Amino acid sequence: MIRYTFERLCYMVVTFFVIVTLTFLSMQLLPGTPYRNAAKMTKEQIAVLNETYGLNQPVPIQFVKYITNMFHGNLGYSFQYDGRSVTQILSEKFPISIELGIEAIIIGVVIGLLLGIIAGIKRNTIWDYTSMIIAVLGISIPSFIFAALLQYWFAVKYQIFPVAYWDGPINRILPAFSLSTIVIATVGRFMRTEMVEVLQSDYITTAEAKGLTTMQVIFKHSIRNALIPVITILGPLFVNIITGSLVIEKIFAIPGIGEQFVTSIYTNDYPMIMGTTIIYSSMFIFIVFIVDVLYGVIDPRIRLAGGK
Amino acid sequence: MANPNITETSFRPAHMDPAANEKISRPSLSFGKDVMRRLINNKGALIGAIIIALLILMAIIGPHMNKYGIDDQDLTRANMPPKIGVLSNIHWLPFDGVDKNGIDQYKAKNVKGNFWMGTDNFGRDQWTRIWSGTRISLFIALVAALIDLIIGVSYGGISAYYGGRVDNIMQRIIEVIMGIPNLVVIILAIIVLKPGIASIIIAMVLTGWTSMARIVRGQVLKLKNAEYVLASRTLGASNSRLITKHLIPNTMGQIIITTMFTIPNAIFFEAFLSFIGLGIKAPNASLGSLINDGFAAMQSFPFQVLYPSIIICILLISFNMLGDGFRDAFDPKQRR
Repeated sequence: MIRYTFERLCYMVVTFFVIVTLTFLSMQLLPGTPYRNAAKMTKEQIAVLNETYGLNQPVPIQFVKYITNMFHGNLGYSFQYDGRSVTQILSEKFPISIELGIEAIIIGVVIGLLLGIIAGIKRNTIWDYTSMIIAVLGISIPSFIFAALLQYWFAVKYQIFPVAYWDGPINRILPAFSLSTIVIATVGRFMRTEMVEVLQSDYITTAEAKGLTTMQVIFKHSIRNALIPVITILGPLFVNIITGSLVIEKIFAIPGIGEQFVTSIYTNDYPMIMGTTIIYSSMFIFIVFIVDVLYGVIDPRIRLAGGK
Repeated sequence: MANPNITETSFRPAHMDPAANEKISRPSLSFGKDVMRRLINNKGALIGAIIIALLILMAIIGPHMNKYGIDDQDLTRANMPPKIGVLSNIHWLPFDGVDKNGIDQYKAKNVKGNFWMGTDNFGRDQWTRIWSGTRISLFIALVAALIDLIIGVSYGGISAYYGGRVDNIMQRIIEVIMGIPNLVVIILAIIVLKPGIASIIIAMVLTGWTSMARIVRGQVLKLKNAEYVLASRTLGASNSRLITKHLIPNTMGQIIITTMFTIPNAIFFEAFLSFIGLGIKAPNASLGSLINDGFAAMQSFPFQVLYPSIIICILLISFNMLGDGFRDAFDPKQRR
């Protein structure tokens, strides 16, 4: 187990360095200038700015400097917000995105499990078909289209919920729900398969034979056993949530890192793009690492095969 | 007790024809035929396939069905609501040319002709733009899926077939690539390459091929040790013959399933990129960029975002249903 975890840890570090290097190099290749009023500035002004931000130094030196600073928690200074550091801006926005993501995961897992359990128990009935139609729709319809439609109907047309921003709990409902659709669909579908499989197994027959009520069989035996494999799909779901948050935050004007990332792309704010990319990648790599280790805990075959 | 009416003479030996014994009573089904039969019996997959065929047809002929071009701007007819001649007298349908305040914009602005899906803020015909957008979205998805397939199959095949150190090195590379969030790679690649059809395809292929490579590798590893492959090798079959005659046909099912899910994924990513402003640049349109443009004016002209959204949803649902159908058809045990 320790060897397996260590191996995963090494991959994590290598991947992280590849990402940082790739991001840095692509920033060097970017067209355009990063400054806001570049067209109006004189050559001397640009030279002074380049000096301040260290852009006049050779690329390898910039790279080494960036890496060193990164380990001290300094991701550079934003070109667009005067004098504010990337770390400062991102640390303000990070909790908002995390909160939205966690809310979406909770909503999605709860509704998804309910749908899947009902569909699995009442197999081939109208309940099953309805749940599976919801699942196909949830997997197929992009979250941003869903978000746009929800926003139009519930916020613009009937004005039940606020259109945008991030003030009170009521602002959370629409974005968290639109972000959770893919989770609902994936979890629901997966849970249904697992339930169907578990309900056909011998120990369920035994449980029924020894006189347990249907409720006891479902809660004590079926659901618990069906839940274990669901852990395996949580990793990809987190990734989907991260992707979705980019557009959902844009649609609902939520001041999170997703919205910040999109804005930085428009404004060529190199340090911001790099900072956000590194934050995103770290979250992603960390989640993959956790899920890999969990797999190893659950399934000894993976651990013993050395993760191949 | 014996029945006196039944005597030995009531019985006759059955007629035995040695040829009839060997006759095959049903047509023999090859694996491919069996898959096709299961696929056609799957209603969802069949409907999906028909809708996809219709949408592909519309993507080809749709832009030529009226006289407006994709970039025919005319500000006098900007933001016209949809109007279809024959349906314009049925008022509960949204095709009567009346906007949400109840004003007939075609009379108010004195516009001749009908715009079946309305116009955008430059007065461009949405019908033409939506179908050419569908065409571009489909094109990007199909090309990306094809390139994924070529790279993935060769990489996975080589890695598994040669095994040993080659496999080890190739798998370590894949592990690192798969560890990088594809979203980050795609966005960085597009920023560097400048948005456009080619750069979207390249960006999606950069990370997209890995899942195909993994699946093909797993499948080939399994087949490599199968008895019939060993038998064929013993009979002196060359490497290329083994690969083309045994390994590839038997991996085909997995390859088709993976491709069927790559396509909707690529359509989604293209729309996603266009929606955050990294997609197709005007005057060209894709479904994603149309949704992005329409979203800006959603409160005043909801039809501009509605129709491209409906098309892309139908497209994605159909591809997913067809993909599910293929998966069930190739492997009835693995129904999800």
